[in-house]
Amino acid sequence: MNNNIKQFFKKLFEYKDSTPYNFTLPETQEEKSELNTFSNFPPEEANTPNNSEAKEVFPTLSVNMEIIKSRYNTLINSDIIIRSFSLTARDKEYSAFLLYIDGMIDATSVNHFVLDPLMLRNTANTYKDSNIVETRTAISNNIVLKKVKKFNLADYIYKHLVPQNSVKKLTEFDEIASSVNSGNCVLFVDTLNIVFDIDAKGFKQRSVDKPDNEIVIRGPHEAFVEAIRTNTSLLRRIVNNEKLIIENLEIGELSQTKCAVCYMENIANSDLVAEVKYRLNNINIDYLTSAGQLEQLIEDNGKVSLPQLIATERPDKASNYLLEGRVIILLNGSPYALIAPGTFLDFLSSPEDYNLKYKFSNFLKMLRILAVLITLLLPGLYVAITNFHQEFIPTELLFSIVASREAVPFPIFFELLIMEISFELIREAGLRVPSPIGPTIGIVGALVLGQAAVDASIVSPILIIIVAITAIASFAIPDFSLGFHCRIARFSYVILGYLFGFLGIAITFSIHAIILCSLKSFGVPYLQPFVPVTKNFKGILLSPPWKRENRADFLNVKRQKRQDNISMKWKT
Amino acid sequence: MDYYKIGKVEAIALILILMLNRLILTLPKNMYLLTGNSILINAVWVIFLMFLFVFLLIKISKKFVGQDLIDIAEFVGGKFLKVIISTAYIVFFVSISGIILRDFVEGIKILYYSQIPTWLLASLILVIPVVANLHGGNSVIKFNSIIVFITLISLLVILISSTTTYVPQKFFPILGNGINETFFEGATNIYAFSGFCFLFFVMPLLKSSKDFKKIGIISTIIGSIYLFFTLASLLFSFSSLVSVYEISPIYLIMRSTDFGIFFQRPDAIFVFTWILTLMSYLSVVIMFTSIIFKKITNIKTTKYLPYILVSLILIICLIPSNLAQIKTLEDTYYRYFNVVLVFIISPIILVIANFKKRKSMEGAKIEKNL
Repeated sequence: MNNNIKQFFKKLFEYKDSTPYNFTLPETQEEKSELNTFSNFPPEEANTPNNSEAKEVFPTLSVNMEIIKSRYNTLINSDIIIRSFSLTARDKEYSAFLLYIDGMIDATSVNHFVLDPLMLRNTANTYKDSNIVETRTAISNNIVLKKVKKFNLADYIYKHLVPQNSVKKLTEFDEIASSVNSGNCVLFVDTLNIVFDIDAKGFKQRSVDKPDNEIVIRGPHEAFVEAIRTNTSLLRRIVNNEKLIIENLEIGELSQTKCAVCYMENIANSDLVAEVKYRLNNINIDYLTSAGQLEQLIEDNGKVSLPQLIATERPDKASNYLLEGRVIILLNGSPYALIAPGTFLDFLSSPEDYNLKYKFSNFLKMLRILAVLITLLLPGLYVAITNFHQEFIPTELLFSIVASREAVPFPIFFELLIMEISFELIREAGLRVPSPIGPTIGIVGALVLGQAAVDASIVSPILIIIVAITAIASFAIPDFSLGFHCRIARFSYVILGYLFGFLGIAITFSIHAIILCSLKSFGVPYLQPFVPVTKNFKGILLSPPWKRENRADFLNVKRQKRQDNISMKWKT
Repeated sequence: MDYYKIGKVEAIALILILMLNRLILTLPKNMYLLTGNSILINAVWVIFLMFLFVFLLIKISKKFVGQDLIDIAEFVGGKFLKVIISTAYIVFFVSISGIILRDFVEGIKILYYSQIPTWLLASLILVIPVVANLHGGNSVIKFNSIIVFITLISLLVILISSTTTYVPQKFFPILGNGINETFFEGATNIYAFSGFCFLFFVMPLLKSSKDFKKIGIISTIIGSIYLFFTLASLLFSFSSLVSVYEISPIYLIMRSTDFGIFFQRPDAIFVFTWILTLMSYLSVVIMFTSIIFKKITNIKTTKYLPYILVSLILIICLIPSNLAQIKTLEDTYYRYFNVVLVFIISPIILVIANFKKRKSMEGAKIEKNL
């Protein structure tokens, strides 16, 4: 007891070092070197072994193993597996090891179709013969001439011991690393300066599911996933033609993200394909993880918020564009395909358009155009009309607007700004909160806040209607990026509409139109086909399926004709 | 500044833009003041003259494929004539733009912006030509195509809806202020087609020079239809007293037309389209002025030229101290400078160039035969 009390007081009054824990990341190289001089750790360079600089595979297994160990930091990295074993070939044993990443390979495949044939004794690896193999024999002047071939271990393993459908021979450590990182396993054999890259991928991935953001009623219900190979297979299945070319590229110095450029060889303009590949090949970045990031890296004008490439999660939509002569870009790890080039009209089209009767599609298209106009102009027009052009609307309506604003102490501009920003906040909050609470946010935001704001005379009821119509219209824009652009751009219409009425709206509209006119997407003017008008221009509406004889001429495709002039031959 | 080759639609839009601006502003009123009730007969006469002019222009331009008036002037009179003609057109474009801008600004100031100073309104409108020209010639041409389309539709709506107010008896007396005013002095009303001066400069921009004929004829037809019906609306809808009001006659037509219950007075929306038209016109003028300026100087880029031109237009716009001065300038300076430069000097240069070309070709033939 006495001891406890003593301990208590000792702890209470004991001197404690009050130096606070302070960790700061050095911001500059000089700072870093300064820190290193005081630090107990050796400088970073000292940690890096020279082994990592090796490029070619060595014939000595132990050297290769050391390089791999240092390159992958196997002492720290827990999921890098190096499985050493002895393989038997022609009844001789060779040291070997298998390199793979745990969780990325299919263990059953590796066990049964890689390790089994290599390690267990079977007729293939125990077959005895001398090292000399006769390939051809000829007798000339009673002398037997034999053409012989020396036993080649690499060929033997390749042909007899690895019963896998996809095996490649690699010689460089960079290739090996890229292959292992993508989920393959690599076989190193002593005395060989090549390695075997065996496709045994088996990582978990999302299965093909319904699209989340581009929902249609009558179309297919498949969406792209994160795995690039699954996505290319989805395209292949729909296009069903050997002229579909899928070229692979790697982007990112460190991430080496796989990217596929897909196009129809007999349709797509070669210059367009070359331009897409040129841009993709000339991206000098460390890593790339999403299609959105890639879109910004290859679009023509990064300063403009308008979308310049079509992003879709629907393979059917991507295939339609592919068959029209566009180029599709798929990125490993992203469930969105990018389509180049993208014109303004494309962003007003929905994948549903081709599934519905053309009259319905055109009606919907007109609605979408109206939605864009409402989203952009309605709040600005409301401010301009109420401030400058009151005579524009009927007197009764004007009276009701004035009456509803009687108790509101703020100017219309401020009132509108409050509501628009509140709405954007509600929208953003609705996206971020867990899905079960999402609808609650909507109810709280729209009903409670809106009603409360009107009751508290912060805003007028007519303004709530204006903001609500604008919000609904913004949701009707089929492309997310275009919708976003309209949402942002409408604030400039509001500001200038408030300052100068229709003159301000005209100025903003003109600047907007000029930007649209000056934009290009992969060499195609953004407002094609109507500005400038192209030869086959048939209006912005969709023609009936039997009148869609030609592909878009602004793409300058190799195969202009899409169908015969009389496509419904059964009628003739 | 980059220019791409333009098609028929864009070229027609370029030619019509100035005419549409004049129609919206005080052109119909000025024509009416000169001729009186014979304005429609005068319009037919002017349209006839205009067709003659366009056919002549097409004929004499055939030998100068891909060349504009400045190149042809150089061919005729060397660098001296080139510089003279270029300067005349630059002065013409800049001064006329200044007057039109001031006229328009005064109009919208009376209607909506009585509190905003003239210089601010003019500067705001001039922002767009600068932005458009900084984005390149292609943007100007495309932007203009969109705006001309919108303006044509808005004007059509007004003209069609105004037919309900027509009083055909206003056609009389047929000869209005007299034969002299209708046909001889009235021939100067051809300046209504002053926008066709762009025909002299559009040739090098065309995708196909064969389209020049079609472009000339189609734009004359469209221009004539709009001119005729605008004048008809003015004549049949108002008494001669109303038509001398200082506000745009088309605006008056619109104000007097009943558009139904909801849009009681949609004039603001039309004024909105006209603001766009003026902005587009100024952009086109600056583009052509830049092209001409580049031809007579050795400047590498015309990138910063819009700033200077816009400043000049603003200065000219602010010079007149009142509306009366603007009207006088429009009715005298604009009318006669236009007629002399566009309809007399320029065709004469083309005719001389034709003779010179023919002579040189004949000379070459003789040399060959020898």
